[in-house]
Parts: sequence; C-alpha cells; structure tokens
Amino acid sequence: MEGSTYTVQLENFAGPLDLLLQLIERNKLDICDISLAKVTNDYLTSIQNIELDPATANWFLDIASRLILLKSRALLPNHNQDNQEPLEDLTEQLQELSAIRQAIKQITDSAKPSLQFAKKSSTNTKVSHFTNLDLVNFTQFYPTKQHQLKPTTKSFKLKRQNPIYLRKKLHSMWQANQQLEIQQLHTYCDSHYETVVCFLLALEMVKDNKAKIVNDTKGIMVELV
Amino acid sequence: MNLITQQLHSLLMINTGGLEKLKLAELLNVSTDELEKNLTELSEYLNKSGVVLLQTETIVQLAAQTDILPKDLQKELRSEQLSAALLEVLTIVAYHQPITQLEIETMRGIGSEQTIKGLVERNLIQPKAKKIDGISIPHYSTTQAFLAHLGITSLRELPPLPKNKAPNAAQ
Repeated sequence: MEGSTYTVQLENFAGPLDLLLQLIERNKLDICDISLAKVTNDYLTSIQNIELDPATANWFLDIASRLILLKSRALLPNHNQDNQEPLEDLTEQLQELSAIRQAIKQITDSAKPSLQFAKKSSTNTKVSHFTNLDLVNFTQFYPTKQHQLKPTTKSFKLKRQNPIYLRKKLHSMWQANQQLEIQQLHTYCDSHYETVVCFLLALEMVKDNKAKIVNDTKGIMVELV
Repeated sequence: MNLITQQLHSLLMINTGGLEKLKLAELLNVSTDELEKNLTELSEYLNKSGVVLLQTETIVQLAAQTDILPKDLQKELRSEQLSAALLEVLTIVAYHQPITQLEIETMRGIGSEQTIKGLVERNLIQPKAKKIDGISIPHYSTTQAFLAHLGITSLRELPPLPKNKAPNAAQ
C-alpha cells in the first residue's frame, strides 16, 4: 500500500531483493513492473528507517534507484521506453530469487535425515607408545635451561600470527631433514612461540594422517607421510 | 552381482573419501558407460542395506543412512542447521552450478563473500578456477558433503526449480 509507514527491522530481511519480495507479498501483488512502481514508496521508507553499513548500503541504493526509474516511467507513460534493460533485470532477479525461496521451502519440507561418511582411521600403529602424550608432558622434551630461548613476549599467548608462514616453515624443515626430532624442534625455530606452534602444527598433521610419529634410536621423530 | 560391481564395491570401501569415475573406469579397465551400468547395479544392491551410493558428476562415494539408527544416535549424527543466508546461497549454487560469486550476489541482491566462505569451510561447496577471457575466476559447485547433508544420493533428487512463479496472484 503506497504511503503506509512502518518500521522494518533489518534482521527481518536479508537484502534489498528480500525486502522487495516481502513488500510485494504484503501488498498481494505479482512480480511485475507495475507492482514494483507501487511499492517504491514503501521501499524508500523502509530503508530510511534502518541503519545500513557502507558494505550493504550500495546494494539497497542500487535497487532504490531502479525503483525510482520504474516509478518515473509509470508516471510519464509517453516517455521514451526504449531502454528497458534495468527494469527487466530487476523483475527477472526477483523471479529467480522467488524461485530459489520456493525451492528452499520444498527441500526443507521434504528434508531427509543426513547421510554419514566413514570416519578416517589412523594408520599410525607406531603411535601406540604415545597415546598418553599430552602437552603437560611436553616439557620433558623441552630443552634444558642452557638451550632455552628467551621469550619474545612477557605473557605467553598463542596469537594467530601468520600461521601460513609457520606451516610453510615446517614443511621446508621437513624437506631439508626428512624427519624432525621433537626434542630438537627448538633449534629450527626462532622463539618459544614458533616452537610451540610448530609442535602443534606437527600434531595436527599427524591427526590428519599427513605425518606420523616414529620412535627412532635418536628419539621421537615426526616424518611426513 | 557381477565381478566388476563387486570390485567397485571393494574399491569404494577402501577409498572412503570417494573416487573419481574416470579413475574407477581406469582401475577396472571398463568404459564409462559400462561403469555407469555397474554403478546402477551396485546402487540397487545397496538399496536394502544401511549404505547408499552418493554420486556427483565426477565422484562416487559410499555413505551410511542414519534414519535407520536408534533415535538418540540419529540426534547425535544430525547435521548442522544452516542459517537462512547459508541455505539460500547453497540452494543457488545447487541449482545454478558452476556459478561465480558475482552471479550469486546478483541473484541475491546482496554481498555474499562471507556466506560463501562459510559454505566452503563447511565443505558444502567448493571453488574451481575457470578461465573467462583469460582471467581465472572461481566457480562454485556443490560437494558430496552437500548431498550427504540433504540425505540425497545425487543432484537429480533435488526438486525441480519452480519457474516464473510469483509469490502471490495479482490484485
């Protein structure tokens, strides 16, 4: 209904097309140019009543400008109607989105229980000695005081600093050395932080079956699979 | 069940992550048409078991049915409820794949980068680079995990997309 004012909460619609579809539905209209012209005022009122962040504002304003163009053509029927493209696009967009919404409803209404894939089992039989290995006991593998590096920060917090770089560093250590000895990991790293993160990355790779733990005569080794 | 179908079954049991159809045809030394026939035979054989055959355009994988399990186990294994935005992008990809981020955003009328990222992280869609005018652009398609999430064995089981239907009749 043109001229009606109401507050529309942002969380009630996912975007400008969603808002348009709701306005069309509320007014019991069909998706066509005339209907879009009719809901232009409602749309403009709605977007004035909500706070839009810059990232989403341009999407709403784009639709607003197309609606205003539609409405102006409805008001000026003798105006040159040659350039219909933006309007046909909008109608088509709404029809496609409406079809997707109906498909979602059909899928959720006929929802079947999900299927499950087989879980990957660990093939690292040599790990059996270390099933009780936990981070608390990691200190027994940590070097003695004379080899300890000074901490880079006072409070030891694992920050997400460039994990991709550390992962690449770990890989290049492996390529150079074939196997990495856990007790000597600190010799390859520049700080406490790097040593612990590399250790955790190595454990993650063991968990994903990309590396395995081997009990060698030299000590506990981690090697790439 | 013929020998090729039995071999298919064995290979899929060993390779729990699924196998490409071309690879399967190569391993079993059969043509792709013959492979399809054996996949159909295997699928029919598995129909009455607790296991089904999932097929995308290129990959085949075995998956277990959960609706036959005790209710409390079913509850544990239930897949994540997706938000409306995730479901919308996922449905757009399912029906229009392969599709680019720009095309998805045009259809939705809103930015979708984070939503697409969320679906990729959940392994429900995957990007594949495709060259358009010499520029490599990721195109998104659904995965086997998507089929498993919906409890279907192939995209053919998706309901047909309604065409040009208005949400309400005109006044």
